[in-house]
Amino acid sequence: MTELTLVWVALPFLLAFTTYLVPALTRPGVIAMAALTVAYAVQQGGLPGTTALPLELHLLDQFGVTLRIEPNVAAMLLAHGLVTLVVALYLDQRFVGNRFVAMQLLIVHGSANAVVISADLISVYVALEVLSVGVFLLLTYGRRAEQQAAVGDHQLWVGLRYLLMSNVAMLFYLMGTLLVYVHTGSLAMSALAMATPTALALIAIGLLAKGAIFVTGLWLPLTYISGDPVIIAVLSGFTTKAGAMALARCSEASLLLAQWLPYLSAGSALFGIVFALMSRTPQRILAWSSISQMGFVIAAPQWAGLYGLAHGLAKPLLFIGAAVTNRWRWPMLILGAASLAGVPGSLGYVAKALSLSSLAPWHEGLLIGVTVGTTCVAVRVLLAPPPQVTASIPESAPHRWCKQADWQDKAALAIWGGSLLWGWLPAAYSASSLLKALVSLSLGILLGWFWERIPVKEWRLDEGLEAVIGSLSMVLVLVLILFAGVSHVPLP
Amino acid sequence: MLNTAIIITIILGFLGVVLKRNLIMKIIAMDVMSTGVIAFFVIWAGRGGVFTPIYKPWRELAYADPVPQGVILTAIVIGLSVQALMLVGVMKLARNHPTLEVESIEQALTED
Repeated sequence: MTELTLVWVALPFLLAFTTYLVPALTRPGVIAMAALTVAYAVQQGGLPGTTALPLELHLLDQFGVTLRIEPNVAAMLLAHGLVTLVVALYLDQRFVGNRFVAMQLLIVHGSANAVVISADLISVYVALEVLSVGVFLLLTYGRRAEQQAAVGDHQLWVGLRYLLMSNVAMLFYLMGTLLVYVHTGSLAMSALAMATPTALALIAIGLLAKGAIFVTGLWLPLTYISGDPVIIAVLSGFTTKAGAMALARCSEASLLLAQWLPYLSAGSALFGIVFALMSRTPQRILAWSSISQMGFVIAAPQWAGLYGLAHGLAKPLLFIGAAVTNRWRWPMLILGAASLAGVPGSLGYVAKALSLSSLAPWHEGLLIGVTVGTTCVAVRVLLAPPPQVTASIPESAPHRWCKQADWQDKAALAIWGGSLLWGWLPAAYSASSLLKALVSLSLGILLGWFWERIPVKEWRLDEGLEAVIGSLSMVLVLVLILFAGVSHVPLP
Repeated sequence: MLNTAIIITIILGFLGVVLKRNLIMKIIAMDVMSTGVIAFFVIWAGRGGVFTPIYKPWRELAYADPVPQGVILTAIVIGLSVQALMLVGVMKLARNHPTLEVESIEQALTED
């Protein structure tokens, strides 16, 4: 098993470099790699309701460089595999630069895998930085229609903004890592239990910014609006979740972090949903709702993987569904919206019910309130008019490609839909969870119906670069004060 | 003393990222900040001693800690590549926005 794990971690990078020598391998390579990840994740207990023994690999003997794969993480790996598989199948050949996108997809896939399985701070740092370089390249040099000469300034600008913000945040993270090492002599996440509050705050700010949680997620809406829907599907599918997952794993080791995580989760859920309700266009609504959903992902660290899987499958479907006008629009939107809102039977319901049932009462109540808002948001995305056909995609592609793309679209949708309907887990169907879900669903649908009829003035935040960096420093100060001063439980 | 100087470097770099209006200046400020962080690692590694950590049985020396040094080597490479990538992006952006002032870029992008 150890050898298989090591090969599986290194294979995406190896494949990505090989595709430079043998370009024809790119698409089959991505599909095979994604299928391998799915198989690996299932074997490690990634399917909801299954378990497996955790696997731990110590790479450097005494400094704590470790890989740990447990069912919680395997669920997240399943999301990586499925989203990559679906996007690789969906990447049609009418676009220039597909091979480059597929190659970047391999690198992003590999580094996201590495982030979630690393159980030490420095591997997480390296993998997160590789991830942000991959995401930058996807955003800026990514897919474009044939007649478009170059990638627009919009994409370039959001990519630069993302890279600057994430690099600054990761420098803080690096300082935190050194402080942990100095105090404990180890780089493992388990050493966080003895770390100083300053070190924890610095580590938390890096992961919060990468995971787009709370106000540090201010970079996210503009990025999601400006990017290409398929690239955004990759971003919302698993790259932001990798940061959140690392934060959830850190909080399992550190009492202090675990104590403040619910507040960050509640803050993120509220912040996102308020602006999602106050937005107009479907893309903007979905982007703000992503920030709100990140709050749900970190709400209960033991279910973070399952929630990440459910949201990571539903959101890309909504983003792509809201952008296309063909006959796949409705199945995509309805499936995605049902899972996002948590209709019983969907994966979203299971994830929500399980993670909400293990929370403190105030936290659970608040998140149920946010669920009403999420349902309202899902209804509004369903009711939104389809985008005007701007004929950006020429329909004159060669016939044989169309036929092939059609077959692949069907396969992609079948995988997507099939995994979203994997929601029959007896543990999640207790009477109280079912009741809460039904009440919040019906309230949310009613609210969504009325919301469309009352004129709401759109709220806009300043989402410029200055605001993004400013919010980063404000949240840094906030966590420093919270962690250092206001710890209300005496720690060992 | 050295520690204080390093912390001041990091804070100055961060202030530069926040306050400078020009994109190139922001990237340079980011580099100053990352230099500060690298120096932070190197100084901490040299706390117990400054000798190269190569073990010689006949020498009783205070060796530097090799782990932070090894770790920061990775971070230096990553920082360099991120910076190179950002500068390439800025070059492409400069074709349509030659001043590279953040405000004017954002204004131009929201207008169209």
